[in-house]
Amino acid sequence: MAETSLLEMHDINKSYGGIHALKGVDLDLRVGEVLGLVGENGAGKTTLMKILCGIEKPDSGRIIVGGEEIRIHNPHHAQELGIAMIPQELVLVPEMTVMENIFLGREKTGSVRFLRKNVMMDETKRLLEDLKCSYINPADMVGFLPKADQQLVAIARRILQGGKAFIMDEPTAALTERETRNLFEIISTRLCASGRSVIFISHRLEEVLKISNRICVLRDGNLITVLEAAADMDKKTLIFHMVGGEIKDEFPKIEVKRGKEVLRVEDVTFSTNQGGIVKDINFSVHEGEVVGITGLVGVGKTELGQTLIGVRDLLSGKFFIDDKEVAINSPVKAVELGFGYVSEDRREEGLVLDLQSLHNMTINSLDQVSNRFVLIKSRENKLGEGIAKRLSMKKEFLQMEAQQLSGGNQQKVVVIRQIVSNSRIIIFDEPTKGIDVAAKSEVSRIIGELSREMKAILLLSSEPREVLGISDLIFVLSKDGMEGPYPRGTLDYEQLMAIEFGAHKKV
Amino acid sequence: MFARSRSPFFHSYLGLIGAVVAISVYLSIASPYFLKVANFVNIGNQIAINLIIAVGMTLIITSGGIDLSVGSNVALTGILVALFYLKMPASSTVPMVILGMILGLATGTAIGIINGLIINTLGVPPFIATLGTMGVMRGLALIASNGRVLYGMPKGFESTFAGFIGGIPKPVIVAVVIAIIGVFILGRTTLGRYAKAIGGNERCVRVCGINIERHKITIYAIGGCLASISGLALTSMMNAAEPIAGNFYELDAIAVVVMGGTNLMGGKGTMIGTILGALLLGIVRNGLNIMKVPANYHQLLVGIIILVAVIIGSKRSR
Amino acid sequence: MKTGYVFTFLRKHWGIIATLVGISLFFGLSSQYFFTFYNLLNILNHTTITLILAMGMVFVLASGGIDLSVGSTLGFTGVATALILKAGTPPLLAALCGIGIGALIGAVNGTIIAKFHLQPFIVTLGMLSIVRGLALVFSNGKPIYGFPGIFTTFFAGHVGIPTNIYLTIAIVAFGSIVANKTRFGLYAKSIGGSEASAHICGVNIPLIVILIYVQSGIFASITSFIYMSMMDAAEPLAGLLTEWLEAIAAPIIGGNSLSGGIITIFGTIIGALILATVRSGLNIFGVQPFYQQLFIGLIIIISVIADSIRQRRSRLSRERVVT
Repeated sequence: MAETSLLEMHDINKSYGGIHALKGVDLDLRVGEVLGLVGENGAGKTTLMKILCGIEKPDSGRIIVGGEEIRIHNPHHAQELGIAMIPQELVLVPEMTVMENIFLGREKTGSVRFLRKNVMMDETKRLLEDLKCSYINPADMVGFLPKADQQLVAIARRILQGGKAFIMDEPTAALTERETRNLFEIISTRLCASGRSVIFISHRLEEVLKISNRICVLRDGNLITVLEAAADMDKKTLIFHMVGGEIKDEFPKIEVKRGKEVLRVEDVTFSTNQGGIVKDINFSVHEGEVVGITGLVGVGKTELGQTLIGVRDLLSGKFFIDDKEVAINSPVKAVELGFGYVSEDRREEGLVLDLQSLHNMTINSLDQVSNRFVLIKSRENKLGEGIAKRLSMKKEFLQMEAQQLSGGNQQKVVVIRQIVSNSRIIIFDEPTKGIDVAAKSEVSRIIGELSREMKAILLLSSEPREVLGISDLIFVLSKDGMEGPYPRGTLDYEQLMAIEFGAHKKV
Repeated sequence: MFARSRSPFFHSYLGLIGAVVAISVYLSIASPYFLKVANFVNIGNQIAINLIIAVGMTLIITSGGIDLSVGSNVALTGILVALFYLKMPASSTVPMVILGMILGLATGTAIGIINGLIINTLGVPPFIATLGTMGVMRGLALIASNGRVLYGMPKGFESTFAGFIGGIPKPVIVAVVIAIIGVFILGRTTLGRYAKAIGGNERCVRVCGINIERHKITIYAIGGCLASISGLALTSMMNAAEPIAGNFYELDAIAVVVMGGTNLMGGKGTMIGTILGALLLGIVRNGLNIMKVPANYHQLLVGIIILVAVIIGSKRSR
Repeated sequence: MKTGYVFTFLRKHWGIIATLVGISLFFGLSSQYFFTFYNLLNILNHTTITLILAMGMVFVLASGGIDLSVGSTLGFTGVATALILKAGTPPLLAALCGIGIGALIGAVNGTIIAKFHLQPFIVTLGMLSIVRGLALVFSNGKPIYGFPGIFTTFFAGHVGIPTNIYLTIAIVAFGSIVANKTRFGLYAKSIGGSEASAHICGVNIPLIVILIYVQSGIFASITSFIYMSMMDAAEPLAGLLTEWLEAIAAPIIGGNSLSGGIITIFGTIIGALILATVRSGLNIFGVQPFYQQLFIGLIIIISVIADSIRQRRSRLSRERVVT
């Protein structure tokens, strides 16, 4: 194998609003290799790749492509340099054919500038044949192809555009085992054999181990190590590097004696955004209990929450509230039944950004601050001030528009909404995502307080420390199904990671 | 803190107020007609017709929608009410006059509800749905009237909107009352709050478990009802119902709403801005009239106002 | 291969073809006047205005936009060209000036939409008002009569069949070539289908958007030449409502979508023919023009609702394939 570098990144630093996301990371990609990139959620993988693709600009550091130092201006520039991103959510035009998608932006035209469809059709066929997928018809509409084939179309497009360094973000998330094998064969025999390289980002460690020549491990924005793939390397070694030694307890939990059962979920099946199916989920939540469901990103936690509040179809299974079967077909119904939902996506689903914070807090409990039609402002103000004081939020924030607040305070606003509306069952989806450490422990303190008020709490989180810190019961969702329950104290960090990554059976 | 978060609003209000004052001063110096009582009555009546519609439009645009059918609504309401009075026996008695007006309001409200239903249940974009009802309602107005202007309404109806109370034209009083109610609805009621929230982030409101459909249909129904009040006032003032009345009224209403500072993308609405916008447009239009600028320039002006206001609005929101 | 192509073509369009045939048969069987050469020619003659406007509109719709200002552009370019002709300008030069004005209006629309990321409907709605105002101002609200014979003969003369039909065939052929044979057509579709995809593939989105609206403006001005030649008058209120509503309806009936990503020229032709046939049939039955307007309005609403349902269903079926 050649040892020359296709591209190098040196001493890359990047901060977002006080959070140091990348701390002097170095990375080199050699010609014809597959470089695995692993790390926990928030370790900095995405940021690093965004910088490489020209979506983000680094605060400092050098990028060298083909021996020349380069500043990458925008995604299009990155593409011209041969850096080819294949994102998890594929960016194709669903209404256009395979051929039109592959050639988009580089159509072949004749002397009068007419498209030469036959030429492009032949080239598409050749390209697809090269990728061993000649079964794909170049004249088919992309929107109707299976996900795996869409991915191959995206790869073919990148090859045509002159891609040399392919960045694949969770490429196997939506693929079956056979499709995954097929993809790996294409990567090793078609891409790498012809001098192209691949950066392979995945949470599926066994796949990373199988396909990569070298593996980079990131943790907390640091490059921990670069491992040469070797026969004796296994998941345990990788997890050891990913997790590191010390774990500090930033999530205090107050012990609460649990009450009667509020919510029971039986054999629930639903689909995920990636097109997979999560089958036969069973668990129950009691008053005053925090049930944590954890698992890797994309495994279906968010979708479980959406199913519970009625924005995603329940494919099969039953919900029971107070031991009575209920049908939840809309959020209106879910809220009637006592559900409260704190979405993972604050900006898209959590807040009305133009509205004052106070008005965001009271949006689903206007009955309490009005006589059905007329708002009683004094009552609303008093309510807001009372709660803000209890949660040590400054009174001035109440009158500010939600978009002017920091991420942490925005999250408090969303949580306060659930407190105000007196929900019995509160679903928290990634409640501490993207907020600073102080706000994190504040939010987990609020969750603890809610459980003391005998609310039933369902915590959906891919942050292992958070789940270990505040949950009374832990379930682990993986692509093989749901494991658990593990009561508080029966799991430690490394064991949890082992279950998440599917390595515990060998432990 | 409180004052600071509100100050941009006051700034834009100051701009509008300043423009109103400046143009009024200019016109009163430049033309001897401007300060005449008759001219003021004229301005007031014109503004009233537009403002009544614009109040409903503000609510609709704030909730992230739009209603292009209000002009046709004005015409259809007028025609149906006129037909009622012309065809029914004893139509000049007070109960029948009132019944006729109730019929008019019901017509407008029904159009609004139809809009709301098409938009909500069938998922058609608001502008295209109301574009369709605009065509259909205009067609119905033409059919019902056979394309003719209808005259001869009962005295009782004519006097509802014609004339003065305490020296102020009745349509102006109606418009002021409606504008005050509009300010109240947008700022002080649950409906107004929901309108802003739905316009700001419909997904969030849906996830919160709020019945969006009901609120949206209510909002379009109010918009339709107010358009029909405008239709009644117009018919009463002219003492005639025209099937092509209200043509382009939707553009006037949209123009004053966006000029007032309501965001066309929804989420931010100001009823006071709309009132000032209506005032400004009315005075400018009157100014063009008394300065002998042909009426045809009016259409040009409204279009320019809409474009400039949305461009400024798009910059402000980013 | 060739028969396979015909087969897929028929399968894609059988619905609207059947509708057109059905409507024609219905009117043909109910009235002896319907299937006369004169009447069929009349239908085609009426289709020309809708169809030329629609040729611009399909590209606008494909890019996910809409152009509400084409009716006003029709009115204004007619008035402007008439005034230029009256000033003694040679007809060819006058026509070029008219086309230039149409292109300019489109360029303003496209630039505002592309640069300020505003919704196309509000921009073109504002432009509708401005351009109509210009038409009224320049004409003083009154029709302008009397054009050189060569102008009216070229745009609405008679050489075997009306000349505007030849012109329409040429423009439809042009539209079809642009849609199927050029980058421009592809890029219009890609912007409506997935703007992100077009962006990362280096498509110059603002330029394409501007050109799309320029093309729409140019076709509106050519339509105005036909309109004023047919009437022998340039009316400031030409194209007030029916014309541009039909220009949107014809593509939608034909299978283009309000949400973009699709161009079907053939469907648009059939859509325009369906509208003209219905109108002609209603005329033969002696239905009042007002009822015709209502009827056409209802067809438009139904086709738009059908489109939004179709879009939702195709999105669902796509997701089901993925699962």
